[in-house]
Amino acid sequence: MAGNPSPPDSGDPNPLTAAIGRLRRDPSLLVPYLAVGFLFAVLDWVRRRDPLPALEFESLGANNGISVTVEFVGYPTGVPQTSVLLESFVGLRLGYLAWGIVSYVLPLLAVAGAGAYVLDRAIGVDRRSETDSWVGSITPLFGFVLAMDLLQRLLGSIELLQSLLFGLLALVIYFFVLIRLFAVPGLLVAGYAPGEALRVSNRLTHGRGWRLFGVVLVLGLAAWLLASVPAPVVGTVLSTALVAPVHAVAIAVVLRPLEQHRGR
Amino acid sequence: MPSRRRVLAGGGLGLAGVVGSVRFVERPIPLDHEVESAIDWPMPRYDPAGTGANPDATGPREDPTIRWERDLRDLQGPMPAPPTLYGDAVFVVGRSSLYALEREDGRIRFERTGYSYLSSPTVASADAYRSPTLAVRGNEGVLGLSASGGYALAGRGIGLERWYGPGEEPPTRTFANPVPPSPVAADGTVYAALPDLDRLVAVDASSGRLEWSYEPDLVWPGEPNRPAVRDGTVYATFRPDVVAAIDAGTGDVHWEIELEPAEPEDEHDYRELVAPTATEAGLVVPSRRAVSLLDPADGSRIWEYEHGGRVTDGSVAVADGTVFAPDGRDDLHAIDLETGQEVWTTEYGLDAHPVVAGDVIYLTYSWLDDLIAVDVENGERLWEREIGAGPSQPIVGDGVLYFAGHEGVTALEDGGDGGDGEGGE
Repeated sequence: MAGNPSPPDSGDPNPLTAAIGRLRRDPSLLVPYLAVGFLFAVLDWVRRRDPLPALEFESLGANNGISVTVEFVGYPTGVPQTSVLLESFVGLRLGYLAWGIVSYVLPLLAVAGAGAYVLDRAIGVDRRSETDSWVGSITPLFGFVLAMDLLQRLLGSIELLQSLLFGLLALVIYFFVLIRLFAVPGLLVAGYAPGEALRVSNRLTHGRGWRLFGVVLVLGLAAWLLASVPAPVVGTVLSTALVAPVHAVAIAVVLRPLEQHRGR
Repeated sequence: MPSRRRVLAGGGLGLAGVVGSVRFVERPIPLDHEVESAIDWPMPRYDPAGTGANPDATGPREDPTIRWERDLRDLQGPMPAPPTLYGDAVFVVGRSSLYALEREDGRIRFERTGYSYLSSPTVASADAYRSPTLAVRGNEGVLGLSASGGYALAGRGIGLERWYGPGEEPPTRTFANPVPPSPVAADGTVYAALPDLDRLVAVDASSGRLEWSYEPDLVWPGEPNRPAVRDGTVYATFRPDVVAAIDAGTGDVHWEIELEPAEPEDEHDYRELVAPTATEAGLVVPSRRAVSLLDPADGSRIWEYEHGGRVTDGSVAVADGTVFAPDGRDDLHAIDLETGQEVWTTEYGLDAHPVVAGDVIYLTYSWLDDLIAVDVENGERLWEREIGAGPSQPIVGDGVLYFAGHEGVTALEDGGDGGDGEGGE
């Protein structure tokens, strides 16, 4: 399935406002991510009690309130209050290792499942058959989510990138790449092969960089602010249930030229 | 999803380490804790109570010979932190690394690079892991390291650092000699005095999760010393004169007192407390000019032994009903634990951390090059040996005494064939 989209024209809608409008008309698209938010909250509760190391979310008040985080990772998701540390899996007893892997994979799988459903509906994918449902797109989307998560962990493990100079340079490149990959989750759900999805996303986002940078910034800051709500469960659920659907539908908005092109 | 530094650290590579499928990987080395007749010294001052005495251990009673020496490039004195003995391994922290040596012959089991390891390692049982956690004090917190060393890939450790707690590790890297206070471990919990924060924290040895934190309410915050843990209570001293008893499980404060100065009429006189020792008779609290025994129920004073010295560092050892206390100026004092009466004194005018194994007291001083053995019965000096400048306080196992020095770790044993052992690298 290949596309050759036209460059965006001046009537190109703002992905954020268009996404919010669509969600107002169809609030049922919030439900899958609401469920993911509650799953995150349950996992937070368990992780804070199990004997495995976990990292706590750095909220608004952390570091004397001077640290600002853009919680944008390249696919629609929320912000749990805890995260597993893969390095700490080394040497775990088998049962705890199994739980650690479940604790790591389960939220990514849930995000992929919710993403596949919401993107499928938001894009309005034309399925060839009843059996060819959105469920089939969970696997490629999960692969993307997992790859992005591991890539970000790998980047964070490179000491050089933690320095100010190289860190800033890396951050610029990182955002550039994230913007170019903005449409990939939607393309995977639409049935594109991974390599093709990367190429088409690159073309689709060409010429929309600054606008998408704004989208990334707004989504990332909104997720961080909502996750910082100082009440148990609320921050995690809000950041997931509100920001992730907007992100997913915004991807669908970015894909519209492609759909129009295919429709011609 | 995760986007912060410590989550990121070791992510992709860490997964490779878990799978263990990467070539040219140094693998974890399991500890053998079933070593025949192995006697451990799992933390500085031997046990959670801080007695500095292992009744089962024996060290050299006569002029010793070298069993083995191991040069370690990352140990630079003076004042290296003492090693830790557990199973078939001897652990020691350098300026930017953790070493594990073979207990038998000092061969290097593993060497892992790391930063901001600022104290000796303390062995803590960690339920979730196949090997214990080595707790070391870091910048503003505690680091939990794998006693098996994790993997090493192209010089990068993977799985060595299990956790940092409490909170997130500051980005600051510190290259420095590890120094006291070291963490204390008991029943799967690590208790650490954090001089950076003037605070005592309890963290879980498996997860690094904060269980509680304590700062004294009294006076201004002072620097905490190594705590002592006994019978579910953590005893803490903060300079200059605060003593507190805290519930080990909940962090509830049982009592908190200021120990009044030896000369209350002198407004500039302070106790200058050093690390306490918890015993069956009460809490032994050494200070600049005296040793006090406090009632663990309420902190009231049971007895006080004034030696009139000038202790600024060091600690006491307690063995078989006797307190062994250097006064930092003239003598080493043996004090009856029940009565507070002098048993004997012997000339030793330095701040030290005496350790006791069997019927011998071993003494080193971090700025001099002497190792001294003293008879516990009468204070008679059994032998002394020049061991190079800047030794750590010693630790003792089954017939062998270990210490970290300016350039490495040395194991001494009773002289037999008179040989001086195998040279280091």
